Amino acid sequence: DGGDESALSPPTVKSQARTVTIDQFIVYSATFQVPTFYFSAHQSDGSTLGLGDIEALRLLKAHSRPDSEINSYAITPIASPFPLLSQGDHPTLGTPCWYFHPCETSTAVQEILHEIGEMDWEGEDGLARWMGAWFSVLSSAVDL
Amino acid sequence: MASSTPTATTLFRRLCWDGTVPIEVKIDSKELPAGSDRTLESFYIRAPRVSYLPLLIQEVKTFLFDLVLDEASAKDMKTDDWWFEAEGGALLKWHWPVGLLYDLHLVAHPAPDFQMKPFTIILHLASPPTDKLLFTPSIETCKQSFMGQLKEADFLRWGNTKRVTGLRKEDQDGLWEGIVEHNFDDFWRIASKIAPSPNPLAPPLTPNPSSPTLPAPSSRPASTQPPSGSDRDNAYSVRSVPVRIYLPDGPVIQDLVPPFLEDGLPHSLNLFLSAQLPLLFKPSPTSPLTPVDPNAPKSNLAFALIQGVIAPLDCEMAWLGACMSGADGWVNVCIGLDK
Repeated sequence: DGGDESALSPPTVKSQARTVTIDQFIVYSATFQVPTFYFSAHQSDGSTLGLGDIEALRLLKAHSRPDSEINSYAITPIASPFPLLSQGDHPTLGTPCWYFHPCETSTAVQEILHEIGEMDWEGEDGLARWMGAWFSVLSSAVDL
Repeated sequence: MASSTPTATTLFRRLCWDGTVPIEVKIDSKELPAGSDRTLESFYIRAPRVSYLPLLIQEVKTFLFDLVLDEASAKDMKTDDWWFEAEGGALLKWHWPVGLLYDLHLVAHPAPDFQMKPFTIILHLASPPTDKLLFTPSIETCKQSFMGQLKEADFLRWGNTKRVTGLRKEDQDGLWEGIVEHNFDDFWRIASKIAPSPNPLAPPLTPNPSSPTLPAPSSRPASTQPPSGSDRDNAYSVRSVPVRIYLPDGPVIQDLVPPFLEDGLPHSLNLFLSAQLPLLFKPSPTSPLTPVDPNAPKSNLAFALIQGVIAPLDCEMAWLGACMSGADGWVNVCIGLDK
């Protein structure tokens, strides 16, 4: 979408060009037994990006999330004591990453599968459909 | 309503809570501002196992400010960039309990006579390696991480996080306050609402809500008494005990740990470790009917350190979950290699 960009209010990002590397991981959560999305973002000098800068990158889709409190270390829905997104160790690499808390993932995916009438799945085909639904849920929160 | 906790359980919880580890904090003298008293190199703390590094910062700050730094530097000093490193060079994670950091250090650097030597950690005052440590290491992030661990433990046990999320906000905050103030009674008054109690003589009469990935307990040891209290809180009724294995040099291992195995046997530490680490722990004589791995050791090559104690291998995982877990609900098993 090229278009009338001058009519939009400018994002509050520093105007000098910079390269930001975003590492994205899908890791199986041993606790919640669902795939979980982890990511980390850093600049070319190695420094990691805080949540404020990440928000400015528009990686995360703010409009689809429930009303949330955002501070330097988490995004927490107002209605909940637990965060949507916060920092954690990557389960195998051990490095610090941001991750979406997966406790609601299963419910969200089931809702989608129910919508499209795919409740009775089996085998690899079923797993692929489950992952498809999972990606749908994820892409409502992240610009993949 | 939580069934009343057996005395023995409370005793073990008290012992774990009161456990401390000796820490020597050395300040990187290269980073001390000019005008500091450099003769005071080290500061010793006896830190509770259930505490966290950000909570110890306050004590260290007092020492630094009162005794080491001159007034001008003290005014300018910010703790935001402080970070800790073990003497061997390992970065110390802010959000791991101090007891875990200590035990892991112990298995990675065993002392010949297995004494509890002070754990020497180096305090850096600047340039934290943010690619390897969680940044924003504040008490708030520590609290959030702690609550997250509690929630995960809850989920593993019961398949939902209702016990933790069902606590009133003041109780949730109260748990963390109990850690900060290091007050056993305040902490456990709330924690006993969500933590399981061991009651192996009263296995559940109805099967647990089963998930496709967990074995549904089929045959059980016969009970000679009716189940007392409610099954809701029985450590032997959980889906899985929250356990993590820490190798001296490797990633953290987490797997499902049902309290009973498919053949009805209680899941012991021996059975668990010989399944997870078959090259280090020999199979138990009563292990399930699987062919013996020719590579399995004839005797154990390693030991399990839990809350600083070399755990007897016939401990039951469910019991460990109720009595030897950390404040965050997790049983942290550090594996040390025998000489």
